[in-house]
Amino acid sequence: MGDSAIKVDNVRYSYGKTLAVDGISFQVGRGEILGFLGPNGAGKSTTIKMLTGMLTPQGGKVELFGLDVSHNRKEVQARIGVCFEEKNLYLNMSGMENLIFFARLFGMKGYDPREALKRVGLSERGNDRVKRYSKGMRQRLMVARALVNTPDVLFLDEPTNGLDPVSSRAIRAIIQKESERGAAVFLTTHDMNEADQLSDRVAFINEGLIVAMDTPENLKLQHGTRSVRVRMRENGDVSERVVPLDTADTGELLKAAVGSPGLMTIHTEEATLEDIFVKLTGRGLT
Amino acid sequence: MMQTTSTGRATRLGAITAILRKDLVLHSRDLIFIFLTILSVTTFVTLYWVLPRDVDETISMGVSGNDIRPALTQFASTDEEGLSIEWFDDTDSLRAAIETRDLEVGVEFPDGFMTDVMAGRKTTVTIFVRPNLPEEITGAMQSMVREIAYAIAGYQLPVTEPDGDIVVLGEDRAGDQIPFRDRLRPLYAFMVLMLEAIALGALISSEVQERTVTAILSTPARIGDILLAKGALGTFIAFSETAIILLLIQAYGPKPLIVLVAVFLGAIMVTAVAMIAGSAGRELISTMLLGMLFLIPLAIPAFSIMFPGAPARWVQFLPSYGIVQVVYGATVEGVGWRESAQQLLILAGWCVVFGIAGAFVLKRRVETL
Repeated sequence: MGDSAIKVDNVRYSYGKTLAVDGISFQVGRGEILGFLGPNGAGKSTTIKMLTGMLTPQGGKVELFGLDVSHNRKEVQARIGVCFEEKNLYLNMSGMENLIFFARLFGMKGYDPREALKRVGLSERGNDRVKRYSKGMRQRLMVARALVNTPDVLFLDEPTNGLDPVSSRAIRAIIQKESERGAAVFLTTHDMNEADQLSDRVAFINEGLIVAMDTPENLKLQHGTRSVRVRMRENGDVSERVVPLDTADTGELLKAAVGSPGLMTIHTEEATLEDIFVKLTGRGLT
Repeated sequence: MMQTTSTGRATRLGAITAILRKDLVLHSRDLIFIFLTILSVTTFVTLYWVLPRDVDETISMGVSGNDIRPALTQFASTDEEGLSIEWFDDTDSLRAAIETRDLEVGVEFPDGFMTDVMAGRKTTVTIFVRPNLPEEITGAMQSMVREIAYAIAGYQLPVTEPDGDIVVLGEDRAGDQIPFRDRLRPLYAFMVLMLEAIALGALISSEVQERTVTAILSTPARIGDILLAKGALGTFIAFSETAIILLLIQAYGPKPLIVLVAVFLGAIMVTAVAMIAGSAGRELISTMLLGMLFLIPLAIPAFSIMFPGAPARWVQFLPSYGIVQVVYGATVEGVGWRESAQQLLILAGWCVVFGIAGAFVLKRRVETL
């Protein structure tokens, strides 16, 4: 992790008497991808709104690139890109027109959207009205829009939700490229595999609190159970056995299994991020 | 090493201009409202040019009774302005002419009327009228018959009349009545303003409902930029379209600048209404209904001006009364700045009230998304 691009210090926000975010603190380094995971109503959207300057925290402080977001909204927003979960595009405008409009809002005169459209695979459809785009095409345009100003911090809210595997893979590749370029990526997703694959670190948020935050590997090591599942055929019957990896006789048990003539398959088993979330919060992510 | 952004310097003017251009593009692609605008402008202009340009103040009266003809011809040619007399040989043909609506009123003088009147004998005159003839004209006909009878009998009316029997306060419009088509001008203007208010309301509503406004607010653009851009676009479109239709229906009269100022203030008012309706509406239909909730009461003064006489007192308190009164006064009566100043000031005050309310409601709506 490099220098901090995002620094959140004891931030809180309530909607009336409902506490949405309850004093969370974390940092995201430049070029780092942070997966921000939590069920609906956990406080993800409120956190994103505060980080992007759309809501002012009622307590604590949010800094992006060392600038207090509450007091430097314009400067901060000039350097971020946001991809919202809802496809809030202008349907009666073309893909090109959508990108040019947002470039103008960033003060970019003479912006040429063709490169951005090519990057998300929409070169051929750039002149079509967005209302004629498929869901996947709209999502790709959303990502292109978030990248219009070559942001230093990229906020992505469920960027691959409901997309076909090809579109999802294309978007993940873009996220990786942006991270390599040096942009910090703040990613919220329900897709645990996606978070696992993409994120350098993962934060679990539940009821406005961050309950765990670390690399996916460390979380699995700390909170998961490591084991090996062995499948064997003995006297015509198929049986399964789970061998824990952290007991004294693990080596002997595995040796016996591998040497057995009835061995069919052997798989390592580790907890998923969802398992860990359930273990930590007692509830699922969806 | 972090790559620097390629972002230029975002300015408020740049953001406002960008939003304005975008809204203009979206507005120009709204086929429903383009169709409605063309339809309404064409209808209003056609109606204006089709309706009669003059008011026919002549009452056509049929008369039967041959022995009264010389006396009545002399009476009508000297005393009664705007009276056209058509003679009938018998009562049946007189009645038929009224029933077929060729005539408005008919008077049947019985045979021997002249002799009876001069001899002081009581006689009966029958007056036929069309069912929809105003009561005051029927009364005037009765009075005229009595007056004719007095004149034939050689009596003077037992009253002393002043030199001018009617004192007109203000411009005497006898013989120069305002045609109905001219009375409709403020209504046409207001209808175009209403239409544009609903179009802008729909544009705002879709911006709010589709959350594109949230995307704008994630950039350096501020909510104030959005309000200014929407306000400027709404006012510009409503004003320019209304100005054009007023030109096409010859509504500028001798004081065009006063009319334009009133229309400009009206455009601000309906733009504010559009902001309120667009913020609260869920989709096109509810936005239209909400818009109508405001616009129908605001249209009442435009309807009231269609009828002769001063509008009811409560109508004069409606915020849009100033628009109608100033447009009508400057167009038809040729009133100047001094006479219009009070109404324009009141109208400007209402614009401030509506403008603040519209901006507040839209701002609140966007903030709670």
